[in-house]
Amino acid sequence: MGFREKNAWFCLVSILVVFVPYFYFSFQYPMEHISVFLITVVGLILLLAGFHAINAIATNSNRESGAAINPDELDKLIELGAAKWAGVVLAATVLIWCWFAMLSVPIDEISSTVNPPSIAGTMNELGFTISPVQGLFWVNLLFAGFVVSNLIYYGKIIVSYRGISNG
Amino acid sequence: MDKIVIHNRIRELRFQAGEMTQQSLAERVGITRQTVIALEKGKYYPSLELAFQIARAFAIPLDEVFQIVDTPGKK
Repeated sequence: MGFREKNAWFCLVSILVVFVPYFYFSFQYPMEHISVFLITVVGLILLLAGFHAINAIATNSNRESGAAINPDELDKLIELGAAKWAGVVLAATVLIWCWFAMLSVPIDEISSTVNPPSIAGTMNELGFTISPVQGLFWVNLLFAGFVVSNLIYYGKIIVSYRGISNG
Repeated sequence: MDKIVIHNRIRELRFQAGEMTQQSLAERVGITRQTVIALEKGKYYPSLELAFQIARAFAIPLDEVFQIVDTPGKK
């Protein structure tokens, strides 16, 4: 298994280890979002820094001999393919999210309670409000789409390398 | 239109070149061992630049390493 495949495996597992508890807690206790988010980010940074430190020590002899090389054309092609998949997932998530967000605006209530020119006003003037819990839920949903697109990215890289090794 | 398949003799040439390892060839042409594996299995067709580098590593012309095999495809 090459370094890039190992790296993809580690990033995939790290994201799962860190973000599954994050989304569990942030949906269970939405008002604790800042502390949960900070713990998550610090945890992810520590995991990735730890992996790269261990890897740097383990491959020190290779680097001294000049054996370690930059990504070659196949590595770049695999990363490009993975980025394309991740981009499609991210774009789809954002579009679906926007669509649901637009649908969740109670148009009928607004048009019956306010005059059209005041639609540009604040949410309360429109006759409906979004609670902080609801708002955080929707923000976390969008964030989950970003995390899933990252999982797709690393997953596709692993599948591509496995396809080469096993095929 | 016929589908073009590119066959290569990298594996055979490595053994003819004193049992050269995949890692050794990879280091000579500046690619990873995984890419050499992919090339030998025909899972990846190299760029023209890489193809010439591989041929140069074996000190033979390009067409002795890579050959086009015409296979009947869907018309």
